[in-house]
Amino acid sequence: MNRHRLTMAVLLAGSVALTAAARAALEPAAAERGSIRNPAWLPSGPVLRMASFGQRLLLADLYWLRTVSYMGETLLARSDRWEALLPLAEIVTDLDPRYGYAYQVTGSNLAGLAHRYAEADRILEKGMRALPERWSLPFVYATNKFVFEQDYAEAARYARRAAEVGHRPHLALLAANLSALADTDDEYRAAEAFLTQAIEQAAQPELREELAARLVRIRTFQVLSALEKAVAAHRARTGRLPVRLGELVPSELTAIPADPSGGRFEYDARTGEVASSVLGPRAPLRVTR
Amino acid sequence: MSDLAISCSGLSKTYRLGFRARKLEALVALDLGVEPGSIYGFIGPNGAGKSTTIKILVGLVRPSAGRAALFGRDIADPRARLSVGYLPENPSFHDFMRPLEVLRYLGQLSGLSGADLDRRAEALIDRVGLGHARDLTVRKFSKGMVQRLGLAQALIHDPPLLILDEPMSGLDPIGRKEVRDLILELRGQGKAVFFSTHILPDVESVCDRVGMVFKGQLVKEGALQGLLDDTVRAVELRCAPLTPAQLEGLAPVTGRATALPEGHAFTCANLDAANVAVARLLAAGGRLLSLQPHRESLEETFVRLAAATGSGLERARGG
Amino acid sequence: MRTTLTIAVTTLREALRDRLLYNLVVFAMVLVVGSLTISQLTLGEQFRIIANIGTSSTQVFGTLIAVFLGVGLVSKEIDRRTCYPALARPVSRAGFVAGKYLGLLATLALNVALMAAATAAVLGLYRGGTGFLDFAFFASFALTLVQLAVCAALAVLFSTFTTATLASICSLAVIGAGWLFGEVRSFWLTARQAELKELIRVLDVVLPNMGLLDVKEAVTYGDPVTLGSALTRGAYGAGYAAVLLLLGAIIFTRRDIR
Repeated sequence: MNRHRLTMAVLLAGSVALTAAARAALEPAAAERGSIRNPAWLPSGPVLRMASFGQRLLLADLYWLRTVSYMGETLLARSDRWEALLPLAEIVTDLDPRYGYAYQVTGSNLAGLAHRYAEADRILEKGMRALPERWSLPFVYATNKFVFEQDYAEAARYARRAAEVGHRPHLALLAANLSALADTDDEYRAAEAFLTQAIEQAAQPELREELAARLVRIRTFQVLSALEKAVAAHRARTGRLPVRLGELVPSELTAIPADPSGGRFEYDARTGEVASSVLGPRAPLRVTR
Repeated sequence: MSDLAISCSGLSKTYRLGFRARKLEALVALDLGVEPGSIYGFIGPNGAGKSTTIKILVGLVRPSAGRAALFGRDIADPRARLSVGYLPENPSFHDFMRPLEVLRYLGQLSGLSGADLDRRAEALIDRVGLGHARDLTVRKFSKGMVQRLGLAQALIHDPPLLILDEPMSGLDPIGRKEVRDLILELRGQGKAVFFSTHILPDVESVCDRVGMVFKGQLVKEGALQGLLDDTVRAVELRCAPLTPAQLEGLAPVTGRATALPEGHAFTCANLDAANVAVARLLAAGGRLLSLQPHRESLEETFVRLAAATGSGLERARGG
Repeated sequence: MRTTLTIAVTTLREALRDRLLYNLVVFAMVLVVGSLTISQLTLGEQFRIIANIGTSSTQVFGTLIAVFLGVGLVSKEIDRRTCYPALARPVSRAGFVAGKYLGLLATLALNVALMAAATAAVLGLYRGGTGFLDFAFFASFALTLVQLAVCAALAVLFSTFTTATLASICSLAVIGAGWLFGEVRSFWLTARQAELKELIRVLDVVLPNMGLLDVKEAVTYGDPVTLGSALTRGAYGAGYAAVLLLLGAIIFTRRDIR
């Protein structure tokens, strides 16, 4: 009887030890299992959607949580391997095309963390097609264009779109500054038109005033930009800077325009710089208010 | 049809089994009539077609051919089942219910309700001897208790006809006697009782009429007594001691005699032979002591009929 | 009619004693309450994760309950022979099937109500208000019940002519195909092959288009649901379930119980 008990005890202890040893051997590998090594192994969004049996929203949430943890893991690992981020976000947004938050966060992180700008554009463009009403998507797009690609005209265009679909006139200020950075006639015209429209729509007087001031500034900058170009053209033609602005007429300009800010233009014949007596030189504007 | 309690004509049932639709003739052109207020014993081995007949009558199985009616109402009409109380073979009830709940549930299905139903259910619980078990759920019931509950539910709507499938199976001898007494009591109340069994003493003790079914066919039917008349197997004749000369004279008619302490005994093949033998015996100056017909038991009748009908019981089993 | 109701009540009482029901309901409730924790794995959009877990687990566990109780509804009564004394009474087979089905439907309705209450409670806890409790919320859960009614009717239909195991597999397969079909239908409609359009015409009739009964996106995104749309969807599901149930009743009527 006692020998029987002993056998049982030995068997029991052996089983427990075996389980523990096997678990210890497996656990390190198991910790890594969640990570995505190869995005090619991820399922296709449309197929997953069909196979979701009506639970695509929940599945989108699960894949979103996976995407969030992927971003966290990649950041913690300080690795620059971000190739699964877009595929994951594609799955999430194939499953639920209305998942605006997923487009927004992925679009901003693909540019800001992963520096994969084309991919950021792709997910944001997909989001803007699916959710044309969500202003944060063109806003993130504009931010990406401005901060990372210095494509100010494109940034201004999407900032205006964000202001428009989001009914946020103060974003017109941002758009105008981006236009000024772009420094092209098209952009000045676009900014002028958009600010005029925003002034009409703005409800608070403070905002309206600020928009009007910005409009004057944009107009002044446009004229300053034209004068700068004329000075440069004069120098190219004659090999020297003009002594006075009047020399630009008639070869470079038909007439010297008035200063939209109500001052007059000041010209430094030594440097060739032009400035408004009220608003000063055409300087890059702060993009934030 | 007449207003017999049960009337069947040409009732047949062919089951199709399995994928290849193998046919099994469970019942072949059964004709049957049960008078109101009588007890009818339906007897046969397992798989002979007893249960099939009963299930057709209570609407669980659809006949392949033929007609059946209960009190003149065709069984295709669910209302025919208003007048029947049915006890299935090995009955079974929702095991979460207490006996009163079972009776209320099934009573409501028979169209009863309210205080009337409650009163009847209470009375029947006591009548079938389940008074002590009214707070138990059916799950805790013994087989005998379930059988008693089965009888109670068959009686809950006070039907003029009871169809009982193997009512005494699984009961102890006391239980059997109680069921037998109940059946007789029900006849006393003018109810017809139709019950099946494969146990012969059950029918011998209570039935007015008996039908024997084998391999789907009714092989014999009639009043219990009438069935017995056909079953005289031999007649034993006993007489006072005979002289060798007298024995010799009787031998051609009676065969060899057996010596008994009180005289001699002869075995005659049937009643006619016995009559001839008695005449000879008396003519030869012998003295008759007793004349005893030996009947075959129902069991023996059944075996003989079964042997005559087909190649044994085994094939019919399990159908 | 009264007998059908009697059977329905008994079926409900029996279902409420089924351990399977409680296992699934408890699991679903744990999931809904746990969604508060799960939703904290991401920063934004926690409301939608809670809402999705609530509506989805109502659907998934409800479907499992509907199918697994549904296949046993009639077949268990036959296997355990509890239907013998009932069917030997003036009860039509169709009435019996209808009663069993109604009993299951009541069980499912209780379950959906419970899940809706749990989801609303968790959402309310998260939001600190009940602004999300609009018509769309109730319509979504009511239509989930209609989905479950279709699932249960499928299970009952299959269980009238095949074994419980096979019936559950078949029911789940058809339900899955119904969801799948709802998704692929639009793809097929734009496809060029004419045969696909024919196939769609057949499948439209044969398969339950579960997607049509699904407005849970309205809970997630707060979309409005009109009464007319909800009623039309309900009518589609109820009609489909009724057809299945009638077929089941016809098969069961012709069936020998032996």
